[in-house]
Amino acid sequence: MELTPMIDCVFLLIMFFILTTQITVNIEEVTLPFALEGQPEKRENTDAVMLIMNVRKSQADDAPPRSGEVVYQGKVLNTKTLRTMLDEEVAYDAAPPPRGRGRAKEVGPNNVQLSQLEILIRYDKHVKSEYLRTIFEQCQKAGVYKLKLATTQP
Amino acid sequence: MRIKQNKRVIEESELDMTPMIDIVFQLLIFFLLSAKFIALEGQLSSYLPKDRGLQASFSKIEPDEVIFFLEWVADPVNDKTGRVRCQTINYKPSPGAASGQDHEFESQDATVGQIEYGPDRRLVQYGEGVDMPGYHIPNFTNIEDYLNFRHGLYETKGSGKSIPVTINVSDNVPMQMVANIVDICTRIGITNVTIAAKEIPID
Repeated sequence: MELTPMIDCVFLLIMFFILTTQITVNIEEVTLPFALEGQPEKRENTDAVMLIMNVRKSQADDAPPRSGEVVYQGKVLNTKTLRTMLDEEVAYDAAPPPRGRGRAKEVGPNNVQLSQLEILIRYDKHVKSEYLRTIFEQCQKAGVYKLKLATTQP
Repeated sequence: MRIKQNKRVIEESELDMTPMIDIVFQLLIFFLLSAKFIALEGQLSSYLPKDRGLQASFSKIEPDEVIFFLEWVADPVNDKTGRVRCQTINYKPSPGAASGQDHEFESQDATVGQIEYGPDRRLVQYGEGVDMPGYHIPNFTNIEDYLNFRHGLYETKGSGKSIPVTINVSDNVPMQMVANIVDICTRIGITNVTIAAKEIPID
């Protein structure tokens, strides 16, 4: 029996699944809110860097509205660690190439330094919206102003 | 005689593939199961104000600004459900009317599951069946009509800008309602949407 073609195929499949799992590592399983106007992600601006922040239901099985937790790269964040994380990412984005991406900060009104980072917020629709406020506050203090809400079609 | 022997040796030395194929199949199944596929997701853009240093947003309330107040009212009997109350504060709701007037939107029952939503009044799933009993939510069709009306009023003034909308959410309101109001604003073409953030010191 000639096994070589089958082994080729199977290796290809394995490579495919290894690569796709690498991509989805930042994504938690959340039920996204529905919205009719959500635009699919545009990839025309290849310079854009988007961080994915998840807000998922917490393990506590409480009545609605549910409490939740902010998760970034698999780690649960509180207000302090969220701020540290944002500051680190902003610094990395602006640092010159050996230590970062070297993208210049924008200068807003009143000479405020603004980062070019984008943040996609994947927020569970059943979770109460109080974490949204924390995220907005901390982003604003860290100088990140490009935020996006992930939605799904109804 | 010699040639025969050689043939036999070659046949015997053929590699046994079975263990490798077993392992490769194991790997394949592992990655198959661990792969999460990205469902088709949309994105609603929202931008924070750029002038964070001055906290200018506190002093600058435009006279025509629409301010939504979303508030969670828990059901006193059944703690599994509740009501989201939505009202606006208008500084000048219409020419001649008193300013500072509240406009409360009536609630609708989303516990059964489907509600009408969007410009073509299509039915969408809201609650989530047994483990998510659902709640009473503001009537988004009314909100959309109202915002359209206010947007129209504002446009006739011809400032060339979009009407400012602020969404003031209390902590307990589920995210879905916030997303719906941002969605409605995007559909009408309002770009000036703020989600009000109370200043709370870091612990």
